Amino acid sequence: MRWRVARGLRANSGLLFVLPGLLIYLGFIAWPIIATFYNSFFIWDGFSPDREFIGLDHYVRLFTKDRAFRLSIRNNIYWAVITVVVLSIFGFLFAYLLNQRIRLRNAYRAALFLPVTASLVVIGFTWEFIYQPEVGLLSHTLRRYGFDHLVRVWLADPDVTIFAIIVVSLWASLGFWVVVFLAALQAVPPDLYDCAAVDGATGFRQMWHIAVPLTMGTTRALWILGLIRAINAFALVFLLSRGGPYHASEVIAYQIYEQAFRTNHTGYASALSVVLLLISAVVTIFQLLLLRGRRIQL
Amino acid sequence: MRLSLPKMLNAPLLERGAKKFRKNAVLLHGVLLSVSLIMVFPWLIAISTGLKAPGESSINRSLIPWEIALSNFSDAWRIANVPLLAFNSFIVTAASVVMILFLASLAAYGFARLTFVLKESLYLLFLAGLMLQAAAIMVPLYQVNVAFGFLDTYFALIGPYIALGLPFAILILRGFFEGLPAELEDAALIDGASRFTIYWRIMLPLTRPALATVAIFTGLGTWNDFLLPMLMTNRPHLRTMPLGLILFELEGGIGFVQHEYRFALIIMMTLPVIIVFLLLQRQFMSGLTAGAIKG
Amino acid sequence: MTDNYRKFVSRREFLRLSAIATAGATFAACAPPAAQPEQAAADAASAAEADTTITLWSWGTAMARYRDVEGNDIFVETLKADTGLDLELGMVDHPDMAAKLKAALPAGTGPDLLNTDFDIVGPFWGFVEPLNAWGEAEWGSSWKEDLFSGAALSEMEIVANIVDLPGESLYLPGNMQLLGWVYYWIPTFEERGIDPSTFNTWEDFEAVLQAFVDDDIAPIGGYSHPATFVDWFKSLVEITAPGQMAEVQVGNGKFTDSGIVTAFDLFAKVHNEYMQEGAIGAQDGNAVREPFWNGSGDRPIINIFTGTPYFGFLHHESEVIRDAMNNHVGTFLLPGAKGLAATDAGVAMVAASERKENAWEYMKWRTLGPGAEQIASTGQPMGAKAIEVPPQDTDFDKNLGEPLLEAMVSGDNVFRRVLCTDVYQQLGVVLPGVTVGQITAEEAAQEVQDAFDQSCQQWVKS
Repeated sequence: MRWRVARGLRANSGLLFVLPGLLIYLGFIAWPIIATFYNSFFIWDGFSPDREFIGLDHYVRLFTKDRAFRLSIRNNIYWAVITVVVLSIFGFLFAYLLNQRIRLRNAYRAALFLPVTASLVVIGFTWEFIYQPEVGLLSHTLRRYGFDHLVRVWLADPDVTIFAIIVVSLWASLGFWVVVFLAALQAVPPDLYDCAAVDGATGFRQMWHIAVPLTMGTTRALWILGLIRAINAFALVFLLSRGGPYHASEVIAYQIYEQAFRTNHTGYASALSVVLLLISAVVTIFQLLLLRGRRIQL
Repeated sequence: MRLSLPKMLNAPLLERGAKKFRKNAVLLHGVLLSVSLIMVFPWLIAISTGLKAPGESSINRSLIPWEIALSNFSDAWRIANVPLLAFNSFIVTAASVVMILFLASLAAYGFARLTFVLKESLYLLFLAGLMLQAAAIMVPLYQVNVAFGFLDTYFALIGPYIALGLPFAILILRGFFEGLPAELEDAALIDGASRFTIYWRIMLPLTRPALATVAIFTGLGTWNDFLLPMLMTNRPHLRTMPLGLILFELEGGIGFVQHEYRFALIIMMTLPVIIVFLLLQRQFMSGLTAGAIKG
Repeated sequence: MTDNYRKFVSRREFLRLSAIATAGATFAACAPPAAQPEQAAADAASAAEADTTITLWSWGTAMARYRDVEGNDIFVETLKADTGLDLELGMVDHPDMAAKLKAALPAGTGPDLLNTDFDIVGPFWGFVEPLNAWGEAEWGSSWKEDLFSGAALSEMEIVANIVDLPGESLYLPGNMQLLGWVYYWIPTFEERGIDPSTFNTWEDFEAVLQAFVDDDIAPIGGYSHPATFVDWFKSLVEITAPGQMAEVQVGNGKFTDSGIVTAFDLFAKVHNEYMQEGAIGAQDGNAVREPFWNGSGDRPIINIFTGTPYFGFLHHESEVIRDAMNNHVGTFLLPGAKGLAATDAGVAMVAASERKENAWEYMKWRTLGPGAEQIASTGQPMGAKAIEVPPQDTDFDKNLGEPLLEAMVSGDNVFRRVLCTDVYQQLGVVLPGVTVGQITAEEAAQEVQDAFDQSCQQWVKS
């Protein structure tokens, strides 16, 4: 008996390696997520001892009555589609151009990449300054060159604000996509281009038939990452518009902040969190399927 | 011909004449230059505003300051208490990164080389964390910190940063460990070394490239984050750099929140990271590239 | 490649770094709360003596008043000299104040003292110390009536009723404010021959505003801040349905009543027609505040009311603002309105505080003692009866001082606002929506009513 226990212990000694990390992970992630599910069934302000069980009412309200939630979903979809499409196309294109042996390559790459190293707070304040109504640089420049009709109140126009914020997000992450694509492109053997050239493929056709398919793994990984980031978008909305005007630029994560921390509807915020987590989970399952059987190389 | 040149020029250019080549290059540089300009322009605005005299930016809209007001930097430095902000950011980032590296490499070694019950299920549990960002779970993270009594301490930041950083780190490091030849360990095992000794003395030193990658990826994210410090800390002496920037105007009095001061602070905050980036460009790139989880 | 990394971090360095960082984090986390790195040693030395520390949280404008004539912040020094207390001030960004309170009070990591913003502190009154026992011990049973003015008292009573502690006191009233009183730039009005004392109705005022608009000048400089929006809305309700807000609070009416709905439309009209383009989204107020205070702009009016936050800014750190306050700006009540007098900030003691004696010392100093006198000397009226704003011997006395201080005590200017936090937050969301045309005034009113019903209905006492 003792012998068997000892053998069981030795056979499972690997657990000891995993355990410390696992405990922190369970404590800070797994347990709270379960608590979020639980809290979403209550009306609760987040701190008082009394809470009222209401079953699925929060979810019913979310999907039937909550206008802000519908706008959030819409904006998160805009965010996901625009960032993923634009960054895939332009990120790839610039990476392809930078993959040529050209002068100033490193300078271009650094210029594209700098926003990635900055805090979103820095980026948010800088763009808020640019977007100021009337006197801001963007409006000022447009007026100066005669494009008065294009001037908008960038951060308080219901039709424009969310796109103005997405543009900042594009600016902030383009460099990251370019660099990742570049790494993938550099792994494509140059001989392949040469062979294609011999076969008469040039320029665009070469890119389309060789570079694009050969970097598809990276592209898919970037899509997943872009989606996750879009679903969880928070910082720029917080810094630039606080979801306004009237929810027009609201995103789910910002709604969670509003509900939980500004109006103390922790139960409702928990329901929002659950929805956000479920959407992320669907995306992640795709990612795990993608990763399955592949070894991660550096 | 093809043997000597292919690495110098890309293939399509080879096929064409020199004239076409020059035209293409001009076009290429034109595109890249204009894009780079767009990307750099906001930084130029930040620098130019940070150098203008306080109050000047609302009258002088050009990029060139009328006078260079270097005193903005010393004023902003003093008002925002930059040494304190930097100290806090450093403590939080260093502690988080070091703990992530240690715990993740330990776990990754277990996953890569040892067998135990539920191994793959636990691994999957960690991987599921890849989808998590602090914004999605800010409410439960906050509740956990309340429950542990961590609010308003460094632990309220470090704990969540570690937990959120582990999945990516374990993913990268497990892959790396599995790529190392098993023979390395065999000799040590025969000599009777314990598994931990093998991990610590033999394997860990070999994983430096992967550790650096993880350190850069998680370190940059931690250094730049403002959500958790904003939610979890209140006391001024716990303020990190990004939070200090958000709360900056509160320290400067009300009425004229000086854009020039704020941008001076922005420059002071961003410059060190950019310098580090330029020095370690290659490590940065590989760190962030791994962040996209190459398939 | 690997060689590169070897330089980057060796195992020994890794170990050393872990040790340093972990030790640093532990040390820093366990260090006394007030300790800043360079002060840690000094603090350790003084720790042996009695604890004289006191922590206070405030948003910006409630603290920017404690300055000498040159605008230097002398608050902490004066407090130390008068009472021996060491103040550790935590500044909180106003829009995130609720989040900060929530993050701290339930967990017991809050400060000893709070500057209370009545729009926000609603859910947290349960965390502050009832003060009747303290007051009676100090001044006897009729202490409140003896010490504080009527406008201040009425609000104290309402707050006590809301938290179901009728007759209790949850804070001591500090600065008072007036809403609906507009700042204007006197020279511009004089140039155009406009005399605010001739405004009798809201329409008179609009005619003047329209005259500026006809000359291509948006007369009111506006910027976006939830508190400013709500202040405007509250003031406009005093034109369209005077007193109705206070009635709604106790259940004698709803936000959807026609008078209040009209105020939503009026709010939109003021912002769309009389403020500059994009005022509703101008998050950065400098662009309009700066030209207003230094007299360089065309706009003679700014969208902040005298009560908050510039009432007591005679000693503002900016010389330009001091000059404007003393010499160039005047005020008038929005014609047709009844003014709103209320407490701008009270001081409350956090029940979980371990330094209540210190906290009480501070509160006395700040609301009734030398601290309050010092604040009053900068032009700020206080809730304490005994403390008056001394004459400044500048144009301030005639332009701002007399009309405002008179209004503080006149019958029309009483407390009439809703204290429900969710109403405040919801107003901050729907008002821009009405202004840019996303929702109608009726829809906005309904949403505000819903917020009230959902969160604060228990306040409606039969």
